[in-house]
Amino acid sequence: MKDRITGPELSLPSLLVNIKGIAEMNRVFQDEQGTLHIGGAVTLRQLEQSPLLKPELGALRSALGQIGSRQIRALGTVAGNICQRLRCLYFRHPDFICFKKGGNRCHAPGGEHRYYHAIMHYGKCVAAHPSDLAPVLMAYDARAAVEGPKGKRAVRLQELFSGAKDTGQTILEPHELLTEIQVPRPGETTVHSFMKSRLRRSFDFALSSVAAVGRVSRGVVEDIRIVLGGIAPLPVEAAKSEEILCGKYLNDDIISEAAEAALKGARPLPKNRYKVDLTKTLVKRALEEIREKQLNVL
Amino acid sequence: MLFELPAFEHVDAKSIEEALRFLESREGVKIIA
Repeated sequence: MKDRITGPELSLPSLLVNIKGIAEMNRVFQDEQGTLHIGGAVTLRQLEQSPLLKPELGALRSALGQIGSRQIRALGTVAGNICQRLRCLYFRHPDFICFKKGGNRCHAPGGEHRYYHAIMHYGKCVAAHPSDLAPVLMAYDARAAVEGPKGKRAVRLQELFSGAKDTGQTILEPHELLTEIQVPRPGETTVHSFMKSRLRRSFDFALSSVAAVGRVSRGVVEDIRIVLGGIAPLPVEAAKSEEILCGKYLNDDIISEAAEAALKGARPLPKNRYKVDLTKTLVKRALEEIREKQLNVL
Repeated sequence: MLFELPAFEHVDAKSIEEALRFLESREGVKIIA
């Protein structure tokens, strides 16, 4: 909005509704079952500093620490990060009426797409989903609470994203609000990792990110969820990799096999082929970190 | 461009119900947090 992005399907707002003053959207609490409830208007800094962010949620803490700068985290909110719009130059430039603004074409495949564009699961639009928080919350099997005129509903976070198929990015209806993120309590033996590659080490959007959360017992993977960010129009669960890893001893060979499987079917654009190898490396590093951590859990 | 933001009409919602009422009140309403 601050960039005044407009198009046939994207108009400037007629009214802004400030939700910072809504108490129930500004709180973080744990219920009796241990589920962590994070209000949509909670700032990234507020969440990062919450005492409820226990060690087993370390990947979430790690991701939070790598979003933007400290100043941005002080103002940016959880729902805002999850629902943020694309980083595509053409989407943000007033002279290009791209598909996401209601135009009939995507300008990126024949133009600039080195950094913030997809290598898989893209459609008419090839921009990548920029959130760091979404992949890590998906890895923790989070749910999104949505409220609207028809009442409340909760959806698995991966179901919130609509991808490249239309001008929006989420399934939120025009009169609906993302009010809360619910993160089920991970077991105390949960091991986790968040890896992010970016152009500027100080602060930047992800070229690629990987979140992995699971349980490993005596070197054998009992359960794992791996989610890739920054490489598709929505965060992508690496289901094939998870299948390969479950029940297997976490050695170098199986880690390499899982990393290869995560990127199977990738269709990089001419200038972002490097993201395939980059993401495989991040998957490997995340799994290696998980292997290290499980030794400490034993 | 940034300093044009106050040109937008804006309201403060005190509850989710109030925010939803504002959202339904007319076309093109957006949330800021």
